Amino acid sequence: MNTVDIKGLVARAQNGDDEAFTQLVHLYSDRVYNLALRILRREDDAADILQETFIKVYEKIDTFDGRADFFTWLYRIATNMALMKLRKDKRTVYSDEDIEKQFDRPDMTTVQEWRNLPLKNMLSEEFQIHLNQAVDSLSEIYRSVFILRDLENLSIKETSKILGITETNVKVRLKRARMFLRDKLAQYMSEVNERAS
Amino acid sequence: MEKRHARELIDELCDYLGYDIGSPMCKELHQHINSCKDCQDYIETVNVTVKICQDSNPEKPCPDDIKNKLLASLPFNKKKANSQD
Repeated sequence: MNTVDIKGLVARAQNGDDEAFTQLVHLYSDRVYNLALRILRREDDAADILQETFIKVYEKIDTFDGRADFFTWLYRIATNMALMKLRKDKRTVYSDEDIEKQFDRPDMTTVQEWRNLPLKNMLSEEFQIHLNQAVDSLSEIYRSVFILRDLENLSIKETSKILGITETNVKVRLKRARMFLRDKLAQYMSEVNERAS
Repeated sequence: MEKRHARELIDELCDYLGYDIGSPMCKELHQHINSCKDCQDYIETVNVTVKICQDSNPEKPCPDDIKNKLLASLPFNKKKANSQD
């Protein structure tokens, strides 16, 4: 569906057309659900965030002024709600200082070990679980940027608008998050290699 | 490593370090990375990490029961349901 159709649907929904609002739900529910699932990991939490997001959008749609894309506005609401839930649950994460420290001293010693590990190991379930745990342990400011940019495939510009931070800030956080995850994975690989030897 | 990806990453790195893309400092960085095996390996492993993360978080459709629950929770549908009771 093109932008004009979305704009038309939003305008109709703002005028109280419930059918138009229902169409917006059908158009965006998969994406909002996936975003919430990637941030929160639990299906029941993602379902709650999906529901709360669209109820809030319904209540606030009059305040949407059309300056941003509807999608960006919707994603901002969903992201904030999911992050609020994370904060409320106080899930264990690495502090921002931990991540900055790791970024300042990248683990270069294990680069060679990546070459020695068979590709099938890197695609194994255990490997992926380990990496997802590392993503989950990122603090909010790094995790949100990594999920929006690298998992949701949004642009730097879109990510900056959704999170309300500058594009430079997005780039800095993204780089740190990627390198932190890479080094966590490298540590894990060292352990796997040690176990195997 | 794919050359295109490497170039993009190095440009991003230049940007991150505050060098204009195409500036002498950025060109120097390109030259260093192109001749440094450790740096190339490091960049490649960052790419692999991101790729594994993407592969282990595939797009999933929102289950129908969740979508139906969402639709039923919208104020106008709740109102309709209440008036039918």
